[in-house]
Amino acid sequence: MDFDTIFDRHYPELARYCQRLIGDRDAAEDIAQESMVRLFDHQVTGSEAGMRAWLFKTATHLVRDRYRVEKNRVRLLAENPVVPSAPESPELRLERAETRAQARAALDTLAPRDREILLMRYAGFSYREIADAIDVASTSVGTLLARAERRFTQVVTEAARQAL
Amino acid sequence: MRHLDEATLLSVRDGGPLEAGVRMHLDACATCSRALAAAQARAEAIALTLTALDGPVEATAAKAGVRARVRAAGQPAPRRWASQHLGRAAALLLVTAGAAAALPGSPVRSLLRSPATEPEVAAPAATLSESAPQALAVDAASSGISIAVLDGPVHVVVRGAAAGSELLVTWTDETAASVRAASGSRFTYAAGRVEVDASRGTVSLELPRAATRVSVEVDGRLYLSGSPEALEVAGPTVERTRESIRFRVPQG
Repeated sequence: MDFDTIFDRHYPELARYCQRLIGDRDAAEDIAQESMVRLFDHQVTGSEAGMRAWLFKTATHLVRDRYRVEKNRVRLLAENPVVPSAPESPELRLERAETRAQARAALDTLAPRDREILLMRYAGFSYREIADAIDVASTSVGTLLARAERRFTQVVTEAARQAL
Repeated sequence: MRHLDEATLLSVRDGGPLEAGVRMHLDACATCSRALAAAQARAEAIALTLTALDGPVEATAAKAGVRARVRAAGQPAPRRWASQHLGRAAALLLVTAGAAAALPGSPVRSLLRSPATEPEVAAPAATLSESAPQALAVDAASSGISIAVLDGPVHVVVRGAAAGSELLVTWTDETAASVRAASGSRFTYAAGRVEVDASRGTVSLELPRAATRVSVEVDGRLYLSGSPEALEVAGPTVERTRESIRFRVPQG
């Protein structure tokens, strides 16, 4: 596959994955771009699915490196709220902002590894691909994912209840 | 009857291998069937909630920037630095005359958003000569360069500093190292390293606290080195705070 095909197919979802993971749009796009550069620099070859998994794995590790200082990550999250792309009504904007805040807060309560597993799963990766990217046994992914989902749902539900 | 555990239910839900025993159990057990349905509903709710975090993605400028960087990486560098710098610093890139004006935001991103900078990025080493960032406490007409630092060391070399001129080092939470000097100064860079030939005026450095190691060398003399937390300052300081260190270049 050529550069354009790979980039067009995978950059947007990779950037969104990074946004979800770190909550900072600029940093997310930097990391997504760095991952893309490395893909081509390292001349990664293989199936498209394999290259996609490589990209997400690389981005996940870059995020870990970049945000290994937790307070720095929290600061960035606080300073860089994600901006919606399309014009919205005030009501919808408010609702979306609440949902976003709840989702962000819920993700923040997860351990970094659980957060990565949850977000990779909801980016469509298999348990085997997640295990490879996150460096856990594939047999552990289900258990860790279950825990992450439970916690995420619990926090979002509780926040929504309090908002009523 | 022993029910399926949650991990197994999620594996089934997510399209994992379905053993015959698990299938038979699901067919026979209303409790587990309900649990599976609940897990599916939960997945839909989580997926929907996560979309709230999705912002716009600016792919066009990013694509141009990535393409330029890939091309640049494929060209032979006119000068080479120690391999450990090239290997360790996950960074690189910088840029052109407008880079300093983009600070203190993400310089890489700012760069990549500017199509006009694309051709210059292809050069493995850059020579910059313009831009006058308003926020700088250096000469009004200063130029600058900045490299993204994802991890690894940062080494800054200043050459030709005039006696009595000042070097201001400021710590930053940004993931970039920036060097600014009077207009006309020449900058070169590589991964984890910036060199500047500055014959006049104040040289201003912004060094990331996240760097694993930093060092600043002025005309062959090491002014500071170490990690931001354990810094060895050997240069002629005139002022030092938690946020910055100001040096004055001595005679001779």
